[in-house]
Amino acid sequence: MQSRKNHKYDPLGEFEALVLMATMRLSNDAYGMRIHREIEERASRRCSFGALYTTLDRLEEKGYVSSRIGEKTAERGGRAKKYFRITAAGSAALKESYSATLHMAQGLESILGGAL
Amino acid sequence: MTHRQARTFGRDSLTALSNGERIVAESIVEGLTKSEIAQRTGLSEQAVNKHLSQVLNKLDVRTRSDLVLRLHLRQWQLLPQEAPKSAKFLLLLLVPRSSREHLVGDLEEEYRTVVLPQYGARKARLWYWWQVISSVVPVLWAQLRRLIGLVLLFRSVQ
Repeated sequence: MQSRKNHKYDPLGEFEALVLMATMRLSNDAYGMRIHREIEERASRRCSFGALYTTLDRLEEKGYVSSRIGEKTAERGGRAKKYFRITAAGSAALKESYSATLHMAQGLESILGGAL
Repeated sequence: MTHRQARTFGRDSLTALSNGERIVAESIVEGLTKSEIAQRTGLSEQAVNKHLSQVLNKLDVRTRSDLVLRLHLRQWQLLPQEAPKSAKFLLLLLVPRSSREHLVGDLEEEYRTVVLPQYGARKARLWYWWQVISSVVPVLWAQLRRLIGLVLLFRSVQ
């Protein structure tokens, strides 16, 4: 069993974990609109761009994601994209959060099995 | 066309078109005949005729050439692609400068490339407004928390 002392990173909220996973999945193409689509389509979870950017800013402050400014395109009204990338600390925090979820779910497979 | 007709030929009447009517109107502007539209869309000629008469009726024009002329004059194809200006203004006003450009750009891109083609102009505008309203709450809340944090820090230093 994991003790509280083993947690090196700030625990992630559910939405933070979703955002980090979407950023990880999208790899080099992770910018606001794609992350938003990924969460809505894959997790069937509605979220606003405001909530997404607030979360991304918070994750960046914690050092879990890094960002760079990308190209400007016409369909964005000439505005630049902001690409995000998960950092090593972000991956470790996500792994820790996922591991905690798995430990909590142990023995509940008969009930939660149909969730996936 | 009378002054009254010209005045009513605004954005509201354009967005009032159904998807089928919009496709027919666009095809007419492209210069297709009714049978060519039927061939391209898979609709019967009767259905194309019905859509066309609805378009003429809704846009308050009498003939197809009137329709083409007016749609070109109003740059119709550009109009429905515009996100609601007042919603955009609200967003620009409330979102902090650090994420303003990217947030508005992302919203604009999804509006134009995903929502507008999928749901049509009217629903897309509602979607845009909904996004703006639901975005303002977490953004303001984050700013408020940051402000409270600064005040507490200032008081603890004193």
